[in-house]
Amino acid sequence: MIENIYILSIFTGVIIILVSLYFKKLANKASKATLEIIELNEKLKYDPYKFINEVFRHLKKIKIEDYSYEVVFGPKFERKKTTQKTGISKSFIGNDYSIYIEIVPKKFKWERRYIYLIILETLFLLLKIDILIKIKTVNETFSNIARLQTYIQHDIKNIAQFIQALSHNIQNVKTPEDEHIFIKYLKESSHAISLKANNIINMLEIKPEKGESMILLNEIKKYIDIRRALEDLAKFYNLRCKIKGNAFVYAEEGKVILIFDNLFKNIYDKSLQENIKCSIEIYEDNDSVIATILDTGSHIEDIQRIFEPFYTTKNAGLGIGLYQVKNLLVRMGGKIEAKNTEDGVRFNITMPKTISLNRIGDSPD
Amino acid sequence: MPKAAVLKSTEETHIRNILLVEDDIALRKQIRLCLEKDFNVFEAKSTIEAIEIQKENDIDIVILDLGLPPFENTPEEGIRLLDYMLSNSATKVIILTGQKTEKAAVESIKKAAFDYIIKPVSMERLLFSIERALLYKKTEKKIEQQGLKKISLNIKMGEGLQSLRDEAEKNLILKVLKDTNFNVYKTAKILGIKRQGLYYFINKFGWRRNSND
Repeated sequence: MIENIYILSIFTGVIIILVSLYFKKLANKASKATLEIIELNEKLKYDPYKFINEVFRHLKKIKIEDYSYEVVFGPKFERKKTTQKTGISKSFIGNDYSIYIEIVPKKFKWERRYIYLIILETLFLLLKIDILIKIKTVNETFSNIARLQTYIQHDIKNIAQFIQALSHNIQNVKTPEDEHIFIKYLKESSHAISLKANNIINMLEIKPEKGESMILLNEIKKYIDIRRALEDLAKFYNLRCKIKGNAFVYAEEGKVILIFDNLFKNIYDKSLQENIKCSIEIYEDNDSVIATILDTGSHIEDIQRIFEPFYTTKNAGLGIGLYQVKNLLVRMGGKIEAKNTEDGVRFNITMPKTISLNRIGDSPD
Repeated sequence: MPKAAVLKSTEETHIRNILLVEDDIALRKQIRLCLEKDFNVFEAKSTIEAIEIQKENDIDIVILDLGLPPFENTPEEGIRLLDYMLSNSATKVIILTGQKTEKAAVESIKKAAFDYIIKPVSMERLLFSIERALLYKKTEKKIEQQGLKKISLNIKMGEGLQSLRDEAEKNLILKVLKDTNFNVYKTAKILGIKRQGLYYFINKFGWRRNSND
């Protein structure tokens, strides 16, 4: 009697081990297939069209005989089943897109049912994420292009209007006195014209941080008196600024001015809404020149994000200015940091004394 | 001789004041040069400066760029200033802007801007608009001297006549109150109503003297 119980126990044990091994094999197969699908999606760079086309080749390995899909998100792509068999399906209909997927496994009962349900869920989720990424990328791209166009159009229209007025005025210069006033106004505008030209050119040259190298036209390098440049900008923007210290950098002037102009423009915009003062310290530190700009205005929300491209806290802002500043400084071998402090907002700008920007796409030395 | 100069000489009273609100200094200087032979030109590069100049001077015409800092790429700052200018004086406002969105144009017209000109435009076109604005202003003044007031109304159709009456009452009383510098006695006399009646309207519409300042 006891012997029989032993045999029964051993038999039961063996059965349990075999069942466990079987389930382990199944689970392995399922997790391998799931991982393969995820990796394939990554390899295809989250392109929903390529993904849905290629993924079923992998699914054949786990005995999925047939499949169909219909995906609509602007473009529509679909595939009908080649057999009459019914499988398992999942669908979603949203405002911007809809997805329908059906897979037909060879065997679909008992424990296998759960494996195929997991595969279907994974497939559906990946496709949904790919479509959402695509929609978001397309929408953001169009929105950023529109914003960029608005900015460039604003400046270009002003330039066109300036030319209209200029040509009208030239024709009306008749006396030496007219000539004197005409030249006087042009001189008063020259700084602004040069800043605007610089801004437009740089706006057109905007590109990702790690984009392809771009050879720029050489601007003549010279020693730039940083204090004087900042005093000119403060005067231009009518800002109350205390400037301490001085230093020189040997660089293309337009680029250096553009960096500080962007920072001053932000302080000026803030000064239209709140009463602020600014103080600047300029000093040398070994081979670098450091400028610290502090404005007593309100703190910047999410300050760690302000150098991100197209990130802006302003209504209808473009979010390019500070990104350009950071890009230019990094390519010069310099850097910029921003901090909310008890006294206001502080920007620390570090630039090498000698700056080379001939190849603006080169990584910093 | 420019047309504007002809108009000025027919007035024979005083040189007209023009306020030029434009944040682009290069453009501002060139438009100023074009206008200053015939007009007394004031310049403002921001809303704050424009309001200060308008408070201190009797401005006849405002040439207004809608894209003003800190929001150069949207019309909202300019529309805000337009609203302020037209609620606080009888000045004529000519919009000269790069903002060609329908919304900006509709908003400006609703606020009763005199003209809406999209940049770039020939200076002759701008001078022509100034000339017309001055003519309108002069004619309006003449009409007012005859005891008639011109008010503008934005009315939604299909809502009966009550809203029209309310809007007309509101605009007319506010205009006269501003003209008399919120002198209740004078306003009541001009409108031909009792002072108690005027106080009723002042309370009804919640007006306060210099509430916009």
